Amino acid sequence: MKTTLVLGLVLAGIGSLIARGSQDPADIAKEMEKMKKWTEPGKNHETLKKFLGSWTTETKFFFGDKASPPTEGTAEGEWLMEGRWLRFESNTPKLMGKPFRSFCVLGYDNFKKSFVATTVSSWDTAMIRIEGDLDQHGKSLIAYGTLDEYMTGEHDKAIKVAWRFESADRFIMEVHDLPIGETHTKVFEIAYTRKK
Amino acid sequence: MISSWWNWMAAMSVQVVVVVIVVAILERILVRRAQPRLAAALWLVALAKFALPPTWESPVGLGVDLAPSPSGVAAVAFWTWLAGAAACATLAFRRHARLRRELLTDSIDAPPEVAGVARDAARRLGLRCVPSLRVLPGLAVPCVVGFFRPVVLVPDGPASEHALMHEIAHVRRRDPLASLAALAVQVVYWFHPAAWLIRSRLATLREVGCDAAVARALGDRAPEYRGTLLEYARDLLRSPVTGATSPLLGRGRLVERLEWLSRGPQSRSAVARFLAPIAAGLVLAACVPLARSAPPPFAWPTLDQAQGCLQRRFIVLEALSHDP
Repeated sequence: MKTTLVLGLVLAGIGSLIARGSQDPADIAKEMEKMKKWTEPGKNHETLKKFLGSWTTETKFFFGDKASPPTEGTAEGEWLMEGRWLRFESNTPKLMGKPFRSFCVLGYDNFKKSFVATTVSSWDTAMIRIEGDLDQHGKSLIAYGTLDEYMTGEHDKAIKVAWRFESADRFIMEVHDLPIGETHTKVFEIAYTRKK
Repeated sequence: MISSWWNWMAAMSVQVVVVVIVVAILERILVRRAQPRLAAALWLVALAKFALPPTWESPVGLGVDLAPSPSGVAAVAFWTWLAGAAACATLAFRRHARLRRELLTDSIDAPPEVAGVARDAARRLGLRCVPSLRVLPGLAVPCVVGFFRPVVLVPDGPASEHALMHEIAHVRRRDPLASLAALAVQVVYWFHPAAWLIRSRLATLREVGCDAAVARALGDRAPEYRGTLLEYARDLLRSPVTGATSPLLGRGRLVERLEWLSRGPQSRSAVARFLAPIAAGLVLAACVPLARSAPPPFAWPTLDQAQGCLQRRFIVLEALSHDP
């Protein structure tokens, strides 16, 4: 009995060694390539470079066809992780009577094939997540997401965030409240101009 | 101050070009079929545009904020403009003073026969008083000198009824003052080609207007005046003379003056005479106030005016900013 048990263990060990030795090297190479494809920064991450640098900002609120006077501030765009994740921080000394700060982490998810961003701000305690894509000309990055409206108790209200790149030194970020309807959905805008 | 000056000049520079283009088109398609005085009135409106605030609003306005006010550029432009205006004013004043001195110093009182012709010419033109009249030996053609107290200068020798009527017509129409207004605008807007163009066009139309006034006063004898005009043109080519409102100003445009004269009042239809001023007036009324209406100042909406939850959020945030 004892001999049979030892023999069985030896055979099992030899079997597992044979099984390991039979793994096809091409398979692991394919898997490694797949891993790189989904995890390494690619050409879409180049778009993130458009946000790098120091900016002056002008913030406006929109109510239908009326806009509030612009409020000036600053912003900084820099790599959170080189070539992969970008941090974009805006700072308006006095917006609605008090300082306003927002912090956005922006990247490109290779698997989703979409740009992804998460934003927090000094306005509230909510975290906003959005996903989107470049338009066919590469001049606008349009992203969609949802937010919970604590003032009305509504959940998952659809929003659209559009970054419109006017030049290498200027772009505009618009926030659209989509439930408003088909027109005049823009409620917020920050115009960024590169500091000279 | 420099910023206000820059905004005024930038807006005016664009607006006046629009007015000049409209006036030129109107003159071409409407007014030449009507009366010379309407053409002159149109160009006077263009001249007056320079003095009217560019902030006059119209729904079709171009906007007064066409150019931002770059502080460095605006300051340089302001001092350059001021220097240019001062130089133009000095040159104009010196030229006028020299002309007046040279022409009037050597002049003598008009003899009775010349004064008699002038009195008759003034009466035919509807003037009760004869303007100041002086004779300048050697003068090629009659002219008017002075802006506020104009003096009609005539050559020595037999007086030409037509020439005297033309110059007295200038005085009756207060052309010297109109000439001074155009000069003042040109001094202020010396850098703008429109100011020079308008002044030149008005000078021509003043001559045309006097020709028309003389032709009207002469009635059936108007063709004789046309012959006199041609005769003076020949004299001018032989011996030019300068003067505030001398026919020399119209020398290059003599063909136009003769064309106006040859058309005569009978060639203008009653419809054209009636409709042209109305049409021109309507178009000018629409294009002289060219400023864009300023948007009303922004006011935060109330909660019941909010559309969507984010606007509601912004309104409350704004209200919070006022909360002590």
